[in-house]
Amino acid sequence: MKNFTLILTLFSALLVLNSCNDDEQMMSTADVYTHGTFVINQGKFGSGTGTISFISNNDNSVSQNIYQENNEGLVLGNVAQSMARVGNRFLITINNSEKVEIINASDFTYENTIEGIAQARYVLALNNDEALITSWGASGTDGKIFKVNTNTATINTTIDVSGGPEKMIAVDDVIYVTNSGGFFRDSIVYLLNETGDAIDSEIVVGDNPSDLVLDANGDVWVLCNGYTDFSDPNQSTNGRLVQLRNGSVVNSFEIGNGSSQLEVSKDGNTLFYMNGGKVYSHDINNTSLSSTIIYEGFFYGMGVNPFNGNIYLADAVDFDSNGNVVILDEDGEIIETLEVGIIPGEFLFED
Amino acid sequence: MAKLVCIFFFLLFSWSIHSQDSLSYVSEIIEIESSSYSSDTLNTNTNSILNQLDQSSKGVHQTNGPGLLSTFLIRGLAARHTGIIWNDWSIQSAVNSTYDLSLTPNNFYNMELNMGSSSSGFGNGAFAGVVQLKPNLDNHEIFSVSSQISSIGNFNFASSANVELNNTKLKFGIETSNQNNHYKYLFNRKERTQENADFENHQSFVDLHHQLNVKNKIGINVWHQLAHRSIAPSKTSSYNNDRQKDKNTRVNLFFQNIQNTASHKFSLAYFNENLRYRSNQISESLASSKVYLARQMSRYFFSSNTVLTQIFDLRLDNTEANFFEQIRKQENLGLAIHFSKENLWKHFNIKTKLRADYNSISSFQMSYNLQLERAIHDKLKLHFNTGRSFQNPSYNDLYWPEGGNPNLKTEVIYDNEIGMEYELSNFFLTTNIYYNYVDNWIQWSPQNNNLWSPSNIAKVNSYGFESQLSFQGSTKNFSFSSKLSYSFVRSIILEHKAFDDLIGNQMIYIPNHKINGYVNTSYRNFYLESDISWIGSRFITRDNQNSLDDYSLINVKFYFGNSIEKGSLWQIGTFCNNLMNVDYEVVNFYAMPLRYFGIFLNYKFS
Repeated sequence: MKNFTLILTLFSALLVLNSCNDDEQMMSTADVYTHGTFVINQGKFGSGTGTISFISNNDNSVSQNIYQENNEGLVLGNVAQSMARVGNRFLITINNSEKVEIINASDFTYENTIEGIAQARYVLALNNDEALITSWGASGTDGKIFKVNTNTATINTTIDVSGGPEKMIAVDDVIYVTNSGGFFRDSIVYLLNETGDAIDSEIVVGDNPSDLVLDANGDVWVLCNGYTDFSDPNQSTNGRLVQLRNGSVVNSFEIGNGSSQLEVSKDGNTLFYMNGGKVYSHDINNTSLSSTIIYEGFFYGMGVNPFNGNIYLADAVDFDSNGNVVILDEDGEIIETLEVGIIPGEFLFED
Repeated sequence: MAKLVCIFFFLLFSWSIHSQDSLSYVSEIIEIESSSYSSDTLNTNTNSILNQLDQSSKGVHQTNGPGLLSTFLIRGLAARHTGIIWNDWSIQSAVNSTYDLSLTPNNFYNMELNMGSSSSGFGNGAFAGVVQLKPNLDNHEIFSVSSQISSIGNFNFASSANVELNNTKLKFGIETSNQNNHYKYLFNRKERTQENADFENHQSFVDLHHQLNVKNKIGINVWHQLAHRSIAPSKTSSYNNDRQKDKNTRVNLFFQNIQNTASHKFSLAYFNENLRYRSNQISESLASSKVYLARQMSRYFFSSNTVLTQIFDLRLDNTEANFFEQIRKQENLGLAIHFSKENLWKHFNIKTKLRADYNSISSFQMSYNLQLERAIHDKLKLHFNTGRSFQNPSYNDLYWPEGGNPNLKTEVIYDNEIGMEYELSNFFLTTNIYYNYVDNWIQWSPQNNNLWSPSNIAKVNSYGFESQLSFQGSTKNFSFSSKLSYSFVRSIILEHKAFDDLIGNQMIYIPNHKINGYVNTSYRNFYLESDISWIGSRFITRDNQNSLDDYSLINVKFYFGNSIEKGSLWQIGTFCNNLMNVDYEVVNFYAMPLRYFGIFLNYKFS
């Protein structure tokens, strides 16, 4: 009996120790996701699933498929468009699945789903519990901006816009929203009120505005892709880099058709954008376009880490295989190339 | 077209004017021989065509699910490389080079799978092998009716009748299926129900052969089809309301003359194929093809074992689609010579085929085939097969408005096969080893402007091994038959113009290993059939970093068959597909049904 009690005690102790180890592992797993870069991989078009890769700031190690890993094999859906932090949660827009997944930011576990957001695009946090989400609508022509509550996973208000609302930025008490035209043509940047409930005004910029950033002077820069007419290339228009101050256009530079991915340097003085297989930079204080080429290559996405200034380029390779992320320093020198998931498109940087 | 019809009837009457001998029906129809040595004839009597394709180990049935796109990949090659042949004519779409096998009738035609390339017989498209749909007027059934209903809301009904007079054989029938496809599947740990894969398919058929006199015969084959369906999205996508309508009419006319030392056949055919696809993003895609075909085929018998066949055919494709800038047309002229001699030497047979095709878009192509057969003794045969075949790019490849590449070259395959057949008592063993080399492989991939475009991007090598062991046995009340087959295939990229990293990788969705088993037992009037298949894991990305798990399926069928009077047969039974309730995927993230049941009732009167 004595031996039995001893064995039982040892066994219990082992169990307790073992469970402690598990807790530590879970804690360390959660810690990993707080100092690095999330790569939002769209997944194969049409029938794949989006995935999330995480690049650690410490050693540039990559954790693949972290959503599946932390959620017992659950998959996000098709296509993972973007990801943003809203308080203690991450929101991931899944455009073809017409939903937005709400993820617990501490352990990357699934919390809830906001359904019925057709072709969801981007998220802007209003506060710890509310966010705006842009949506192209089912047909790509009936755009909407949804205000959602992440506690309840419900839509509070809906603003109808023309086709293809894209990225948003909040500057003081104004929210800027680019309206890209979706599959068609548009040239509007909407200005919403502070609470994101209504459109206050709109600015005409250039054809198909999609991206926008805030520079060191507090000006908003808008990148317009330009309109592409496949059936009649003569109808295509060039892109534009438009500088907005207090809701008005103060500068507009012509750039190539198909320009995309506007980013700003850590100090806010340099803009980066891509066109025709080149990454360009533009000094915000130049009165003419200073299109310096900092890197060459065709990339599907770009991000600038606001904490260290490194430039992240997403290489979708053949749009079927795992993609790569090329990390450049601020001068355009390669730091590292890392394999991530299928069709990397967006980045979210966490300090 | 009018000229062709006039020529056809002129030839018809000039040949038939000869004799008014006493009439008797001659069943032989001159057909183009495929270049394949390895064939499977599928029994369409008690099972659906698609289930039968699952049972064949010589290829992979690729499907997005019941009611959705179904294709058959032969020997590690692509769906577009499998030719679909109806009455000796290729019915692959000129728009996208593929044919959706879910549109295939289950009951009316015999289906034959021929492995190995056959362009030397059928021309463009018979690249990796062919699936032949053949009329069946010799089954002596006066009337047959079959119906099936299943627990996923599917109802199928088919009926056909044979009328035979002294010199005429007529078979006509209908086949209709109304499939809800409300099947259960698993996704993200939850059981869901497929609700967007409804499929209605209505088909009617006429095969008429009329013996004009002892030497001459005319015939007509008609196949009309109207199908509507919802195109269910992948499990990872939301409901998309996409719908597709297929409306196809195919007519084949032939006149055949058989002499003592020669036979001749003249055929005219017309296909009218219409496809309409609607989705939220694409307002509507419409494609309408009119295909005119003519063929003259003569077969000369120099002796009882020496045969020469000559073929001349013409094909005019005319496609109007709202996504092409203009009407797309192509003309194809083909000339083929086939020669076969049995017992060239003792127990040594040879067949050679040579064909030249001139295509107005893809220019000139030669295809050939050499087949040698040696009977070691009456139980063991060896064979060797080698050939060259081709596949022209489709209209989509050439002219898609945002990325089509009009400079594409024709894909070419060089295929080689050796094999054996061995028969021992009730056992029959076949084994083949093959080696294929494909040049100018067409692949769509993103270009520098992120637009997708096709190019002749790769050289591909596929090789493998196929073996099948069959057994049949019976006693007074008990019968047993079974098949066990295994296939191994490697299909690898030898050269890739865009991504060197892909060299040496297995092509996607090609399992290295596949095993099929089939058992059919009967005791008195009770029958039990079971097929078991195991599909190995398959890569789903070109970098071979992601794969689908292997899976195994068991389908069973139990029925009672009874002759209530001479010449008539009732069959009533039940079936269960996916007996073990396996959660599996054929194509990544496309829902496949968990276990479901059904009942069927067949009546045949002979």
